[in-house]
Amino acid sequence: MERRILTMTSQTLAIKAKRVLFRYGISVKIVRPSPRLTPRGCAFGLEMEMYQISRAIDILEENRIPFGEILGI
Amino acid sequence: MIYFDNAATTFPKPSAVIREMTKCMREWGGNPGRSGHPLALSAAEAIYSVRVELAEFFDMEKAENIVFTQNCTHALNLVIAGIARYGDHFLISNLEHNSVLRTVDNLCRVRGMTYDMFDALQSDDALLCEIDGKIRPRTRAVIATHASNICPRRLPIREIGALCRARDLLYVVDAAQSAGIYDISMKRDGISALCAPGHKGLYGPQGSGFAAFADDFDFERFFGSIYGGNGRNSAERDMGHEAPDSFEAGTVATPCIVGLGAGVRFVKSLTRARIEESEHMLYRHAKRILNDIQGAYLYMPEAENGSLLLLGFHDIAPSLVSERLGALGVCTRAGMHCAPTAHEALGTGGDALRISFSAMNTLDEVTRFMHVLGSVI
Repeated sequence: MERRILTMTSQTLAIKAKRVLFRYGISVKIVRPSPRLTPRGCAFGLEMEMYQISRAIDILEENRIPFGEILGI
Repeated sequence: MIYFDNAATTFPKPSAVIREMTKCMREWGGNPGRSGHPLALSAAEAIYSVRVELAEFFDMEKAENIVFTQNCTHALNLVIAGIARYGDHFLISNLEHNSVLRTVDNLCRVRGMTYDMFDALQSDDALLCEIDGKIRPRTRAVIATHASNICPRRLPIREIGALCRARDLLYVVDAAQSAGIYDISMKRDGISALCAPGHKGLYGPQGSGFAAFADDFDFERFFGSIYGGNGRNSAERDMGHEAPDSFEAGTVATPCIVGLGAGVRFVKSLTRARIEESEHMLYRHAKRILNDIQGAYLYMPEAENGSLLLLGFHDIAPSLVSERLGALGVCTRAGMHCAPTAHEALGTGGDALRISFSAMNTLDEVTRFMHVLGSVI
């Protein structure tokens, strides 16, 4: 299964997002993407199955949790 | 030992607080917000859970709007400096601790701001009227204590909050003596920022504190005062304006924060209302016995709006009484309690003896304390 990382603006929001997504049945892992992939420097991301990305984004938007970009692994 | 200095810090701490802190330091306490390994993530998860506990306790939606600090003074400095702009005007009460008084006074001198004081010892209606009358076009915030640290006086936070909302002002509350004891709702009381210690009414360890910001607080206009690493956007000089991470530079005190979380759960298990009731019962009992002690008198003897007792003595300095009590294993606090304008307003001459209770105290301790007091004055 291909996986993707959705970057988050902070670790706190990454944890909040992880807990919210879990309530909707989406299990994610908090990761530290390589700074080479995140030009602003250290960041946090939510790693998940690629097919879940779209639904996860909808849920985060609905819950007003800001997120960054989608990264490939 | 009788410990009646709970307004300085509650003692002893609940066993669960000590257990959680020990577990954190032994089993999973990595540095949160830095690495991605399991111990760092466990710490971050635990800290987030404490944010959730606090947000729930103070009736907020956004757990991320809890910013951890070392103590209440740190939180007040963070908030006041963060909102202050050149030309601003502030309103503070005459019961403020130096954590507000000195912070506002120094910022005013350095940043070209001004402030006025209102009398918090008058009736609630008169107090609200005075605040309203002192608001100027450049007034930015009302910054005031919720409960005095030296006398049984609680300010009407809901009404002050409503006034601030109506006049488009920020309302900053110093909850050093009230968090965990009196009912506080960020939403209902219209509070913009609530500053509290973790180690007093919330029964956490010293080294814990926080600022809680309203769900609708505008962080774009807020500036942190401590800069450094926070594990995000490290390539940039700007730390951003996103709570809490932009305002928590450096390693946070993970063991203290999880200890605070255990303290909050302790308060929740007893219930805040029962703690308030229990402290007030001790207060009333102490007042009754004090009437029979020759040579001692109470400031604000009629007050029923708090549970702190402030005592003076006819023939001996309160500091000396406190010292004598300490030698007999009774812990109280005398002096000025870092609240010079409050002492001035009460006319203590700068020295009085404070007795403050916690959920750990008993009626029997109050009775024993009064006997000891009678023997040293």
